[in-house]
Order: sequence, then structure tokens, then C-alpha cells
Amino acid sequence: MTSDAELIGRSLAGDGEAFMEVICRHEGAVGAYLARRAGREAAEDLLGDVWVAAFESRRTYDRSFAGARPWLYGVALNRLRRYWRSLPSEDLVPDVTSLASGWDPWPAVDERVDTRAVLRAPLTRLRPEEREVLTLVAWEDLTVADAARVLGMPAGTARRLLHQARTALRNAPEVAALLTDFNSVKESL
Amino acid sequence: MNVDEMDLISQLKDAAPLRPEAYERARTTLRAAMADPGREPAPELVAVPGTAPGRREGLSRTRTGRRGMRTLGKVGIGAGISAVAAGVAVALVATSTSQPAAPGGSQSPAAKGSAVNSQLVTLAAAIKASSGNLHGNASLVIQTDVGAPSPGNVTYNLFTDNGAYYGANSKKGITAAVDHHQNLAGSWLDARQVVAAARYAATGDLTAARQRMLNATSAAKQFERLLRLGPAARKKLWEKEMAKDRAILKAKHAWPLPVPTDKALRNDINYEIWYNSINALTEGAGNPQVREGVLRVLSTIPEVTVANSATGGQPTLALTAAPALMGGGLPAQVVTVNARTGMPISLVNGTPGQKYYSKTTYRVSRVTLASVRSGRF
Repeated sequence: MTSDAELIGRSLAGDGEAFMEVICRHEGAVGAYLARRAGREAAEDLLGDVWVAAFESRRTYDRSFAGARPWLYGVALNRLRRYWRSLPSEDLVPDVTSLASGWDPWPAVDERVDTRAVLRAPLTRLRPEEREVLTLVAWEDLTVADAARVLGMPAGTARRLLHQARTALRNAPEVAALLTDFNSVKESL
Repeated sequence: MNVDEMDLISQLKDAAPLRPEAYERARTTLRAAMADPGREPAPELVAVPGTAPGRREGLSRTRTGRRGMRTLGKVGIGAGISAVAAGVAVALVATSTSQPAAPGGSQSPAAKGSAVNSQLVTLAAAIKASSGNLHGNASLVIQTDVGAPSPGNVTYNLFTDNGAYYGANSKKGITAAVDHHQNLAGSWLDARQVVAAARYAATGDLTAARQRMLNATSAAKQFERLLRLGPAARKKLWEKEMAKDRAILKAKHAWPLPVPTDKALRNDINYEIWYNSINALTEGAGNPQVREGVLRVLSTIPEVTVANSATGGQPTLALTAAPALMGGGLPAQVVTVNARTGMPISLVNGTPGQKYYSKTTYRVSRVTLASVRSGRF
């Protein structure tokens, strides 16, 4: 299959359909990325802006990377930041677990224990860059190196941030209790 | 294997899926941008976490009209008439035919008594004749993306007869959504208005039905207003409104834009009717009256062609909205329905016989809210 990098190269040479193919490959993932962070309605509004921004900035794409998804996440994150800045301060939500407004994922996961509520406070206490790396790896299934590409930082920095985030979460009393609860249940089964 | 903190975080990744039409709109926004030769490439800075907030950017939280969304992303109703119609100009600048100006509704083939697609009218009549009592109190529409954007993605949509909407990615999820009263109705994709228009169309006057379907998109009124005006008055109004929204349009790289032609405005009106009708069909398909009404309304759009086809051994009809209707430079949209019941089977964005951009299939059934809540459906 033709790589994203090759398609972007073709689009720079005037082949518009090549860029559309890149978009078609990744629109589901980028749409879900936006929805997890801004909720469905805002994600539906933002997606077109993300594509236009990506198209306009495709010259900056480093074609030594075959896959464009981390780059597209980076463009999407830029648009998200602008979106969040545009919101009235009263509409800003303090933590990532509340960002997907209008949608409570928890009932589909487990109805007995409110993991979401338990994780809210420890996630809020993380530094923004720690949270970004953590969620890119946990939610978008990126490697740490790809998460670093999204955020425009060295892979070593992203690795350190992920380690810090995981340690902070693991050491949070409420998370520790939840993990103990989960793992003891599993052992007793 | 033990659960760790990453497993816990992963449990929070579920989010309400974007609707297929949202992907289509986003692609259309991109195509409009790509078609604009005046666009200057702008370097996209890589996001840096924790950077200080800058000035507020122009992303209003006001809901936007679909037409505006289709062509200009966030610029829509809030930006006024020029922003809405600017999309027409971006997409249809090449079209120019001169016809007497009149509102879209009164120019409908139905109103003129000609060119109504008889195959769709015949099917609509057959649906009416065969429809009996409506079972249950809700329609369950299971959508599956079989092509891009996310093949294999399944969405369970539950539309109750009293207007509630629940959505999830699994059977268990839709049960939980109903159980937790996660009614998502009331967003800009609210289907109630288009479904009501379709039901009216089943028995009402076709010209009035077209108008009701059109009115489900408030931005569409602007197209009618422009269409009523003569060339000089239209140009004057256009330039006045353009000037009003200059800043927003510049931000969207959509300036300058020519005054839309009659043909472009008619196409735009018919596109709104097509778009709203297809929404009504996919969201209200459980009700035969909705299917009947949608087919009657679609029969009035000259750019919609009907071809006999077969899907899974069943006779089907392929309803194709020509690229001209979709905004010029865009692929066609093909909706396949059962040739006997009018039930939607698939929606494809792409030119027939060529590679498509997205494909969604539908399975529609009538259920009761109680059966979904209990997981017995």
C-alpha cells in the first residue's frame, strides 16, 4: 500500500485526490480523538477545520515518517487548543474525564464501580503534558515515540512524562485502592 | 494478568461516535478549501502542551447550518447570509444558467406538474398500500461503516416515537444508554423536524412538503431570498452581507466570492431537501409513512436519478444525487433502498462504479424502549 508520506508528496505535486486518500485512512481515528477530548458535537464541528489545516500545512510534513496519523493528531490538538481558548471560561472543564460532554461512557464499561469518578481527581493533578502523553498512549494506541511526534517533543521527554504520569496515578490513594480492588477480585475468581 | 493504571485509563476512551454525515461534511469542507486556488499554504505549528492561552479564535459555539458546515466549516448561520451562500459560490462558481428567479419551492417539478420521478412515486404508493399498524414505540437503526472512515464501526441508534435519541457502539451500550436516560436529542442533528416533514409529505401537497423539508434547515431561507432577487438587487445584497462577514470569511480563506447564479442557488435548495430527506429516511425508516414521504419528496428533485439494482439477492433501487447537486467537484451520493419497502440499505459517498469515500449500511427494526432497556431485542 502506498504510504501516507508518498500520498502527501503526490498532493504537493498537485494530486488532490492523494490527500483525500490520506484523510480517508485516518478520519475515523482523528474523529474519535476529537470526540474523546471535546465531545461529539464539537468534534463534528472541528473535523473539517483539522483537514483544512492539515492540507495547508502539508509542506511541513516530515516525509521520512511513512504514517501520518501522529502528525494529524498534532494538527487536531492545535485546533482543540484554539477551540478551548474560544470557550467562555465557565464552559471550560477542569479535567479530561469530563471533556466528552453529552456522553457518559461508563455505563458501557461497568455499572458497579465508578472508575471515571475515581480517576477524575488524580488525572486533574497531572501536568497537562503528562496527561497528553498518557492519553495519547492509552486512548489512541500510539507508541511513546509517536506521542512525542504529536506533541513535538523528543521521544525521551515523552517517555519521562509517561513514566511520571503513571507513577503519579499509581501512587494516588484512590487509584491504588481501585487497583487493589480489581486485582484481588481477579485473583479470587 | 493484573490490571494496572494504564488499563484503568483505557476504560475511559469510549466517546460518542461521530455520525457518518459529519465525516462527509468535513471532507466537503476540505474539498472546498482545496478547490480555492487563492489559498496560501500556512505552516501548522506543532501543538505544545501547556502553552499560554492566546487571543480567542473564531470558533463560536453557536450551532451552524448544515449547508454552511458543508462548505465552510464553522461559518454558518451566525455569520449571516453571505457566509451561508458563500459556500454555494465556492462550490458552484462554474455554473451559470439564466432562469427566471423564483423561490425554490415554487420552482419544484411537482409544482409545475412535470418531471416527477414516477418510479419513486410508485414505490411510495406501494408502501402506503402495504403498511399496517406500527409495532413498538421506537426505531432501532444499526449503522455499520463498511468502508472509510472506520470500517467495521457499528453504531446503534435508537429513535423513540416521542423524539428521544440514544446512541452507542454496541448492544450492551445502547441498553445502558437507555437505562441511564442518556437522551442525546436536541442537538443540531435533531431528526424530529425532518421526520415530521417526511410524514407530512406522505399525504400532503408536494410543493408544501418540499418547503417543509427545506425549512428544516434554517439557513436555506437565505438561498430562497437570494433567488427571489433580480441580478442587480442580488449583487447589492450579496456585497453588503459579504462586507459584514469579511473578517470571518477571510479567516476561512473564502474571499472573494462571486455572486451565486440562479442555477447554483436552485441546486443548493435541492441539496438541502435531499440532505434533510436522507436524514429523515435513515432516522425515521421504521415508520412506513416516513419512507413514503421521503420518496415522494425525492421524486421532485431532477438531479436525483433512480436505477434498478440488487443487493444480497433482493431487488433494490439506487437513488443517486448527481455531483452537481452535491456542490460541484464532489462525488455523488447513492442511497440504496429496498425496491418493495423503501427501507434504506446503504449510503455511499462516491461516484457509482468508482472508488467510494465512505459506505454505511443500515438495519432498521421496530422495538419497544422496554425491550431495549432489558436487552431483549
